[in-house]
Amino acid sequence: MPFQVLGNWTEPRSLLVVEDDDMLRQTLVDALRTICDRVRQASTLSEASRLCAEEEPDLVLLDLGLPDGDGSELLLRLREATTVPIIVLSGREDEEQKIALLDAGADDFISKPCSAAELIARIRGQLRRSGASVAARKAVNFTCEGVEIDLLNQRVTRDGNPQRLTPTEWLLLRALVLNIGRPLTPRQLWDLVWDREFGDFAVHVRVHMTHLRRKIEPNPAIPRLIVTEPGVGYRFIAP
Amino acid sequence: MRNPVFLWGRWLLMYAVVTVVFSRIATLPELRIAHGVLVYLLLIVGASREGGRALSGVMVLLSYGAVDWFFVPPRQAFGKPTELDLIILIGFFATATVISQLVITLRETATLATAHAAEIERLGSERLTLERDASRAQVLREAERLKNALIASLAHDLRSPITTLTMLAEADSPFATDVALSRIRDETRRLDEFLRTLGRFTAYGDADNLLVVESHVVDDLIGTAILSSESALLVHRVIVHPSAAEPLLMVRCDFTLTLQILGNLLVNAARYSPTGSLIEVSSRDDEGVVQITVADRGPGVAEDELELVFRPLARGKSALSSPSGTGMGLAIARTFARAQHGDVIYSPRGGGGAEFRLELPSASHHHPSLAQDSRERQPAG
Repeated sequence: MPFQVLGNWTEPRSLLVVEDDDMLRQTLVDALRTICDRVRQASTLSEASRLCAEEEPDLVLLDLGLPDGDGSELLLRLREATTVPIIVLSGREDEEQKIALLDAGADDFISKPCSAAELIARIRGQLRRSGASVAARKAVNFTCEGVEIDLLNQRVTRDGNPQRLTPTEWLLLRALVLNIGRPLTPRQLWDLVWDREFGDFAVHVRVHMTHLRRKIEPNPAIPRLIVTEPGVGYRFIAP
Repeated sequence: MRNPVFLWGRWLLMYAVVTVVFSRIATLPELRIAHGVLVYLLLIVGASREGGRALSGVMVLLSYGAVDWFFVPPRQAFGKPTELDLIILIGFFATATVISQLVITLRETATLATAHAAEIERLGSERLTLERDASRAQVLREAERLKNALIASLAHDLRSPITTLTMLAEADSPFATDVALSRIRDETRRLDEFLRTLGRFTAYGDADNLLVVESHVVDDLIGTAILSSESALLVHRVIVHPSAAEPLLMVRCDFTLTLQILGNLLVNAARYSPTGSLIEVSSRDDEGVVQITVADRGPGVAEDELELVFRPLARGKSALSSPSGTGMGLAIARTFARAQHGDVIYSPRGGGGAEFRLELPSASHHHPSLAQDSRERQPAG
């Protein structure tokens, strides 16, 4: 495997599901049992905080419709109890909320409804990312449908032809890869890549992102490495 | 310029200068009356043009005096009035009157024209505001109508997928598991589509808060729309014709709303065109309006159904064979496009098929420096 950006998959010790709808919680727990023997569950935030301290799970799956709190405030309180990856289950249309959640420290979100396969793939991705060191992520080197990306040596080739990236595009690619599998808002990308204030930063990010995609995507018309999360931002996906 | 003291001072000074000059050269033998009359006439014309009737009258009298003194015999003296004096005086007066009258009339006309122009401009902007309000109101009314149609259809249309689900989930269901599962997936997707649309419209009453209109790259819109409609496009081949536009094509729109428009157009194309056929997506800038075209090789839309297909809960005749949608796709697409000062337009495709064109305002004039900036920073080669 030339792809080294993510750590190897090892079965997590325990996972925590926080969801107040009984039927959905049970279904989620059953789905997660396929990758982990110990799946704990909570239906309120206080229960979740207690379990986080007591159990130290490897990952938290959190639905926001809980009776004792809401949105990013809830997430912040949970963040006080744990530093492990948190994946939020959210409605598809709540873009503003998604951005607020990412800013508050969520690692990823999944729109409801979602398939069990998609859910498990996301959880695996987050667990492997949190298991990989930053150094390993900086030295990413992989091939995907004829496009070879070598981040350490700053080299991209498509079908053997070298692609020339501008310094800004390299920084953008690096920021995305270091946060592989994790959605980044234009604001976050701007802060990571540019070191100046600018009025219409989101438009700048969009334009540079398009140029970057034209160089590193196997099919730039339908990007699959850098995926747009509508209304939220961009996510680099492990091929 | 408008200050009368300054104006009078200026013309009297010019008169003085001319008169002093003449006093120095008055003894030259080649100097004739005509020379003097001509020069003073010029002074009178100028003063009448700028100073109005009073200055013009004073200038006539002064000029007449000077001409009489310097040029009309006996020279260097006023002498007894003659016919020549009278002709000069009348000539001066006539010129002054005509010129100042002309100027006054012109000024009045100009003032009137300016007032008219201002009035026209005011009316124009008033009309624009009214039209904008009207079109906003119309969009909201349209959205309200769609919402009502959707809610009315919910009770009826939700029953079908739920019936299907109930039958499929029975313990002694006669369906093979894989068939049942794939139908359950389809039906839940359909229910989800209903809910998403309903969610959009519930929030629609507050259109200003709902729409996040920003500049977006057209390539990104198209790519993301295709990716998120992927499951519906599985049995078709989708080709995106690169716009190759440099600078990038950009539009002013709400990203997710536009994504839904494009998604609806893509799903519509997939639903009504034969399995394995080509769906082509292209984009171009047509003088400030960006057009994104989704073209298929389906049956197209019959001329008498043209307006019908954009109506809520209406399907084209050819749709009867595959009534799996909500029947709202095109109506929603058009309403959402209009809410963003755009539109969705149908045209038949050469060689058979349908072409649905999404039009949105271009964003290029919003960021004149941006495209250039990003292009310059591309390395050569």
